[in-house]
Amino acid sequence: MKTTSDLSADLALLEAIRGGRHEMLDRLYTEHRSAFVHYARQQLSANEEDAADAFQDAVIVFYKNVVNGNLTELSCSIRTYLFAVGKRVTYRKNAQRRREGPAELDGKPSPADELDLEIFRRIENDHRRQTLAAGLGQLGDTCRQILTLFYYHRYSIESVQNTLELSSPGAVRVKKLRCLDQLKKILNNGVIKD
Amino acid sequence: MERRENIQQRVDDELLGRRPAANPKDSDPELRDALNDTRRAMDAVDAAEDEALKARLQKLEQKYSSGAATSVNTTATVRTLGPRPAWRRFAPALAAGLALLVALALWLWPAAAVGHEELFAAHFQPYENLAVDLTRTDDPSPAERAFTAYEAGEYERAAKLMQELDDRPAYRFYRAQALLASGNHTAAIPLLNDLMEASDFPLRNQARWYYALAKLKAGRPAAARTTLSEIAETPDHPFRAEARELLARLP
Repeated sequence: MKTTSDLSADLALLEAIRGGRHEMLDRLYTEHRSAFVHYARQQLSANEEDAADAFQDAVIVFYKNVVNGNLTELSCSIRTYLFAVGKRVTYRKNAQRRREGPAELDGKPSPADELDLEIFRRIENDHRRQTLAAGLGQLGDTCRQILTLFYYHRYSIESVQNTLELSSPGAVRVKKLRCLDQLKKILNNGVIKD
Repeated sequence: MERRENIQQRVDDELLGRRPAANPKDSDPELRDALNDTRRAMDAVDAAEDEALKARLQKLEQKYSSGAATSVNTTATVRTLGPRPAWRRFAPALAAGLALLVALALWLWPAAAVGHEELFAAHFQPYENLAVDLTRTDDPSPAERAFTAYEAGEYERAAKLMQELDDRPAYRFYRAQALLASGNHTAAIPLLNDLMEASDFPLRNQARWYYALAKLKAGRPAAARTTLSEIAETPDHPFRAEARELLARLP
């Protein structure tokens, strides 16, 4: 049974992550990973690789919901939250494995497999994301760090200034605008379609 | 430069949720373009950092796959053997007898019960929420609370909240989903049984599939097989291919 001190620890972790200590995700992962993998293998018929992969996705979803303000308070423990998300991801992986595996019943490929638009859409989306990520990779280190801290980790301008030891908030704003312009040019010059 | 900074500030406030979205028809073209371009730039940042986070967690994961092989204690200890107790003379015979009993049990009762659980887990996926549109609000309705829990994967909580909703078939269908997902197939079965026979319920075919899965989970493979066969013989059933696959895998 969850004790008050366990919930307090969860809240403290949530605040730490919200405050920019995103390295706390490592601790979150190592504390709860084995329990989830065991649960997914026993209860959800997942193999170890899929279970670990699902749990990684769950941690990332949790982090993004914390930093973008979707998760501001805990109605359950962090473990329960991670398990719930991980469970959903595992169900999807199980369904994908069934669709992508050799589902022939009489030795012939099923028309449903050939026309599985969801798989094609997922591959296309993965490709689009890879291309977008590659666009960011073409920026210099400082630009990449500024944009990532501001837009992904949701740091304030002042926090970006302190983290990267830049001269002033104004300098960060100007630099950020220039970096954003650079990234937009890279993306527009590529063949990325929305 | 100042105008561009002001435009970017407005765009950032909107995209980061600090101000409500402007009406697309009202915003000026420069603002609209800045919004679209920044949104795409944010997608790029998102994609790259997701990859980086994933790679970091995968690196942590390597400890688990490589750690087991290196954690074995190879230090040997020599112990002096004491006199052997009399009863231990019979231990090998006892062990052999037990092994024979276990083998007999496995032959008589093959691992069908375990197989049913695995088959259920491999084929069950909670049905996507089509019943309630969810929006960010400070005052969610009871249905919105229930379906928010459902979409978050908090199935036990979702099932409890859905019990408080009115009796419409769509709510009962998703309550059955939440019950199945949280391991309560006993409560899900009667709900699905009613729904699959309701001629005016648009998801009655889906209810029939989940009824078959619930019977499988309940360790009633014969009942599951009957329903799956009906589905397999229904040409336009949405789960016909899955039913045929599951029938082929049932022992």
